[in-house]
Amino acid sequence: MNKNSFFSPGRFARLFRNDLLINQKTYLFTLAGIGIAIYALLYFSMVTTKHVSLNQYTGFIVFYLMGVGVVIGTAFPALTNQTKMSNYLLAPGSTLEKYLVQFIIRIVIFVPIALLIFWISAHLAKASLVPDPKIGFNPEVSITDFSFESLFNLFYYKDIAPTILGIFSMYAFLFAGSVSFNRFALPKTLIFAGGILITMFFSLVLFSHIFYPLENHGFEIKLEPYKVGDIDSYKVFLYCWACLSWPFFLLFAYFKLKEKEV
Amino acid sequence: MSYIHRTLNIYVMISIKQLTFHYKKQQALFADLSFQQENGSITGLLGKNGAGKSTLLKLMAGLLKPQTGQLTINSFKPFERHPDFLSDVFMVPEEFSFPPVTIDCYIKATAPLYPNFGKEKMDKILLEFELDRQKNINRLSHGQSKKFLIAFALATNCRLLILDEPTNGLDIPSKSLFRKILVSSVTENQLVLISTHQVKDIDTIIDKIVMIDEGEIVFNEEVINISEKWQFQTVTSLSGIADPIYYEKCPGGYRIICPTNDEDETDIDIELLFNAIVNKANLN
Repeated sequence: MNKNSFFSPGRFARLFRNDLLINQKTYLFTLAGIGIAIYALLYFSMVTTKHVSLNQYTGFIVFYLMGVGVVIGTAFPALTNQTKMSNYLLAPGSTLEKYLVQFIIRIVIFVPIALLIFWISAHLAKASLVPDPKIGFNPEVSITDFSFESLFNLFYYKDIAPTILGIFSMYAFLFAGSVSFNRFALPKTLIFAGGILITMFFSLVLFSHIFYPLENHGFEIKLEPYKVGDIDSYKVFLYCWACLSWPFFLLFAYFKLKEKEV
Repeated sequence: MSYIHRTLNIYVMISIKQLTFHYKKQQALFADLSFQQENGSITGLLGKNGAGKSTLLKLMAGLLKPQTGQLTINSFKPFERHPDFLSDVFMVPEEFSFPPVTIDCYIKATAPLYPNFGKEKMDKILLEFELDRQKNINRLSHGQSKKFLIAFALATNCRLLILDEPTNGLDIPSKSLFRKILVSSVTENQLVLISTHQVKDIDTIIDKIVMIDEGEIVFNEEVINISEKWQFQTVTSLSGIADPIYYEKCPGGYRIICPTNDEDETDIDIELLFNAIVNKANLN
């Protein structure tokens, strides 16, 4: 097997450089845009509520991470129309190299930068607040300092890895969606995800009716949790989803790209 | 013959054997298509609308996957999209788009992907096409951006250049410039495959004519052989013409194809030849 047909560092570097040179403005505007948006949102929230706790930061970061998902869900922009797709597929590089360029830019590089932007924005927003002694507002007291470390302290230590992997799985799902659907990939991926959730809900309702016919009514779901070691079965199910689904989505995305036709 | 082939480094670049292809939920466009083409020529691929010219070019470029049969280009299966295959094939599609960057930036970003890219050749062609390197490609007119795409394609020095309707959108001076630049840029190691309806735009530069109709190659002949076999004339009357192979009325008389006799060779009227083949005239 000729490894050069799958991956060559030199060729990958040239493809990577090509993407950065062609899309540098788009990437910079995206980063600037999300920076300004999250700063404005945090500042507005701090000014109006005069109080931000660690729990509220959690809410913000959940929405922020969903926003980051939009950037990942719009990966492979060249696949949105036929002419761009032809250029992209015919660019001299292996499928793995083209895949890695998008994966590295959209996930490996973008997500940490986006988190850094959130951290900077949260601190900038707090630093921009003016104390108001008349109403007893002192940002140093009322606004909690944001840090990822304190955010993680809200979790049990054993939940941290599944949470991170769960977020990664969500991103891998959006990444796979961006390859699977050509036009309007992100909305289609979200509709597909909704479809899966609705199917799961109705399946659980159906099974509840089958196994507990007398106790179950309408759209109720009756589940009997049980302990697996020191965690309950619900958590085991969620952990399995969080930890095991991302390799499937990433592989799926690769093979979808490999078999892409115009 | 084989000696000549070895010294000129001529080899089979395109090899298609019993290829079948159909789009989803549609009838087969190609059934049992076979075709071979060596390097070292500019070949015109002609055919009616919907005959499958663009599809065949896409199959050759690796944008579509054939259902059955064998298709190899430079010994590569196109749909595997091997990087070495992709760096040696360039396709100029009929419809294209560019990112919103300057010509200079595009060259800087994309040229390194093609190992045989000729920067000096690129500069020369840009100069001939009067294209400003500092201009944003998206702000160029359709014709200008097409000229840039053709210039880039030629500068890649890929062994196989696929041009789908290259003269569409070019003004009259640009068409003649295109012919001049193409002929001077292409080496005997390359094969240029041009699919077009504008036969007049390419009739002076092609070495070979391939016609496709109803999913089959119905004509495949070198221009030199065509001139030797047939004459293309315009006559005022058919009387006195012994057994014309094909004729068409035109203002002032008839355009005819007849077998060559001792008279001088004539220029090939590709349009007339095309109509003769489509109308199944007996050219044998």
